[in-house]
Amino acid sequence: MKTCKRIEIVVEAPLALKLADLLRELGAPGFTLIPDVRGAGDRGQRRADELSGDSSNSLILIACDDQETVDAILGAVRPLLSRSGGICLVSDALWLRH
Amino acid sequence: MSVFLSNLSSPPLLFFFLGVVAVAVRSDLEIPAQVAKALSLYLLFAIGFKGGVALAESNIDLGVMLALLAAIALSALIPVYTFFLLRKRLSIADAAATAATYGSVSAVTFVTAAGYLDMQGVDWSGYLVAAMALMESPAIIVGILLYKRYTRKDAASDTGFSWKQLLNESLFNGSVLLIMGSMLIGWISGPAGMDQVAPLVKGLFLGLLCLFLLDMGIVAARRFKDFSQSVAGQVSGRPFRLMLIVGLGLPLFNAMIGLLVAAALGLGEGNALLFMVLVASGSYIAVPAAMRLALPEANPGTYLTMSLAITFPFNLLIGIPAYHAMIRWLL
Repeated sequence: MKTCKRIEIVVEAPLALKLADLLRELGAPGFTLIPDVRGAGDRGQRRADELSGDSSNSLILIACDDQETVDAILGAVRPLLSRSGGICLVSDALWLRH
Repeated sequence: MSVFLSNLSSPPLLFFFLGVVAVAVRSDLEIPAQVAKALSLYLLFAIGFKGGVALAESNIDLGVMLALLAAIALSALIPVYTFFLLRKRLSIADAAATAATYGSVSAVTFVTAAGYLDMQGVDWSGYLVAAMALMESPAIIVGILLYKRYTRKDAASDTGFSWKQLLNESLFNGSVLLIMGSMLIGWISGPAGMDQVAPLVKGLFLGLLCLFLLDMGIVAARRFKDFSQSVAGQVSGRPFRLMLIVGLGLPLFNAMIGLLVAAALGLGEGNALLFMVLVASGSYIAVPAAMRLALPEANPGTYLTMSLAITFPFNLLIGIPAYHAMIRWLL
């Protein structure tokens, strides 16, 4: 098991696609994107039930063991979240390398 | 009065109510999101195809061109006065997104109005479908321009917003492309093409509209519930009375402008109604998709709630028959 940072980001669905491109550029080792997630927060209820996904958020999950890359990712995520709302959590995790 | 009753007793409207009832009694009834999406694609395809065939059967004359130009001009003009009406009362981003929402059109309201006319046996012309598709992009672009012009400069120097992406989104948004494409295909294939696909495009249209409106009833009622719960104080920070007044007042005001323009253009009964519905409705498909990309500062809880939970049901239940009664009375 290897120690790493686990980054979870909930963001507006269209911005998640932008973020996915950004992550590749920043050299993130990989990511998982869960579309159509819902919940509630500053911007009220997000039900993810409309045709065009107007109230859908996406969840992006990243495991990264390089602190520089983690910092780069967080630096890129902050301006996105400050425009659109959302949440970004960073925690210590153990990575089962296989 | 009879137009209201016949509207309220039509199957699509009754299914819309069923959706509302399902939410009110906390039923687990729902149309899966992917099925609802497929239904909406079907409706856009069918209305586009019908419009294209109707275009092929008619002449594109000066009157048609003028009506299309008027539609484009209104979709650029409505956001301007909406924005100035709201900029002191909402954030600049919310005002701009709301302006774009109301400049643009609700395809579902249009399709329902076309179904209403079919049930009433009133003719309408295919070029109105083209007007609907043309009214999406100008509103989005004007909304963004207003935001760029009136927001603080430092806030506008943002992260990776590009006009190319926005134009692409507003011109080739899936629903716009499908309507335009289906219309073009209907226009090319003409009445002979219609004979081949009529069972799907005509025969199933009202039935599938019922199912679709059932879903819209559920979604709109949920939105309204969220909205009224926040009125009760569970979520603060949104100007509720303003949203209610704008959500009801703006479509009425815009409909009156639509009526005047329709009268000036000399549109017939069915076309005038569709024209009014286009001008009076607010988008909740194309505009929110573009706004979330280009203007994420704007809160969908404001502009989407107004168009989906207030304006859409209003137009569906009262607007369409009321506009129809006005046209019969005046034109």
